[in-house]
Amino acid sequence: MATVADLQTAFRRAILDNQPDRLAALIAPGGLPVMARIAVYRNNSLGALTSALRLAYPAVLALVGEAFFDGAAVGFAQAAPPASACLTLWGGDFSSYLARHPGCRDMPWLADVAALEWAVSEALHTSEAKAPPPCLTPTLSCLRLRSPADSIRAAALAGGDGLDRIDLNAGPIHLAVTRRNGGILIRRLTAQAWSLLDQLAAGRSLRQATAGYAGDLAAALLADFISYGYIIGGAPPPDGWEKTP
Amino acid sequence: MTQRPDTTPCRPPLPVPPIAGVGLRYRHHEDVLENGIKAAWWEVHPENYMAGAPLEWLERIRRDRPVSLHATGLSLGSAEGVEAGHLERLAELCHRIDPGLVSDHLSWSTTGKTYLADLIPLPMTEECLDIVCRNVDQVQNRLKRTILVENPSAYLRFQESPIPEPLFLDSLARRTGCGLLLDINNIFVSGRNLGFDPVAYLESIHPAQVKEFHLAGHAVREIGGHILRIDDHGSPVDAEVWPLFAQAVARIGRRPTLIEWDTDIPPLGILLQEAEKADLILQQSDEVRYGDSR
Repeated sequence: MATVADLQTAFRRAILDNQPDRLAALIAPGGLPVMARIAVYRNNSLGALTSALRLAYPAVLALVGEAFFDGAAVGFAQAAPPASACLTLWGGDFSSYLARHPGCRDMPWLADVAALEWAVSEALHTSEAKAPPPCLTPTLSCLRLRSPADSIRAAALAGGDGLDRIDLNAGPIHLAVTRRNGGILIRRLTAQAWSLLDQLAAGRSLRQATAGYAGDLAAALLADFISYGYIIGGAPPPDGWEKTP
Repeated sequence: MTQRPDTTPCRPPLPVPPIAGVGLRYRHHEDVLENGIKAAWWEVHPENYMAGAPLEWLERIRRDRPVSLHATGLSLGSAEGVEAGHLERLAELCHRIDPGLVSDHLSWSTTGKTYLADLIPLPMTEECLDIVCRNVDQVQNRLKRTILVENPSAYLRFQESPIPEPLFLDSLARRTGCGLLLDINNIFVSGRNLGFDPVAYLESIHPAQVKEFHLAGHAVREIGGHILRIDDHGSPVDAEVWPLFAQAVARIGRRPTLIEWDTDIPPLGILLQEAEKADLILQQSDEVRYGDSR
């Protein structure tokens, strides 16, 4: 007689590794064949994980179509399944998976769009109360992408309008992604502004981050960061404070 | 004079009333938050509201209606125990929301530190009963409250599964003090798929242990000449499930009753109509009882 742990391991192998034989031996026969019964659970499980990725990556879904997306999602789910039931925390490596996927070779910008969508998802699902660097909103992501992923994403989510007019070589771009007033704000920054913000997000002190900037420029950029909600209440990081890598 | 700390809760607890509520999903948030449409109470999957903007939305929803947290990820039947991180997130959410009810399923979904994203059936054995009791105890101790455990829908039965499911649930409730969430659709679906009588199942349930009912639609599929009922929550409550619900209410009494709809989700008005149907049956039960008592 199998223990509960044995049975659960057999179930995982049936769903994620396509190895149902051990599980099949534990199931009472009768009526619908055992393999068909197992297939219901496999479809439910991989279907739920695919749905979670569809929610997080709507622009990638629109760009590649349902059939390709679902195939890639199942491959990703089997290769890197979630450890937690909180599926909004799962799927951040999908962009890396797409970058290595043979079917994406003709779409080198797709992984950038996925990285941007994950930053949007993180901005949506991050609690503002948990702020690691003292003065920056924890919903902030700083992305430097090789392709114009923001334009591609916007066109994809608008039904594809204008996709053919986007210069796919118009990168790199520098983005700041945040949640603000309940909405998601995706904004292009200059390379200089992005570099300053990215250094602050990495935990560098104001003195260290602004060392290479003229005083007026640094002040203007910091004012801009405050006005767009990148820098929020509380004191700025004290000089000398450095985030441990 | 030293000022005493303010220990008043941020909001009064709102118990879930014994009438029909609706499962709230993302696509109806605008109806609820912007247009002010209200059900008697809402039930949500806590896994979708544990942080960020969704948590802020749920706090707004909770301000004027009771909320039930119906978890899908505690994996109460996992041999390796309940994932500590997930339990902590649920505890934090309970602290923030102060839900009227908290529930999960008699099933498992996590093994080898991997979440399989489905409610997978358990073998009804003494070893398994010990595991589920241990996990329910752990959850209740951490949340400092009793939870409800829902009977699952199933598409297979294990060869070694000697304890009838109603008896398993009864033992679980007696040993841990948890309540039962009786999903009427699940009884019907499992009965058809596994060949047991749903009415006999219902009659084996101890009424005092039941604290909530669930109702949902299911799909009927033909696979290789065999009919399989799939618990997809993607349609109105089946015509054969309503009479079973009426029997459950007559036998067990009025309980909070939830309309669930998770796939092909229709406009919120359709769910509210289903809730009205359930309320009619709950009210008829009251009338029968009142007539009997005179």
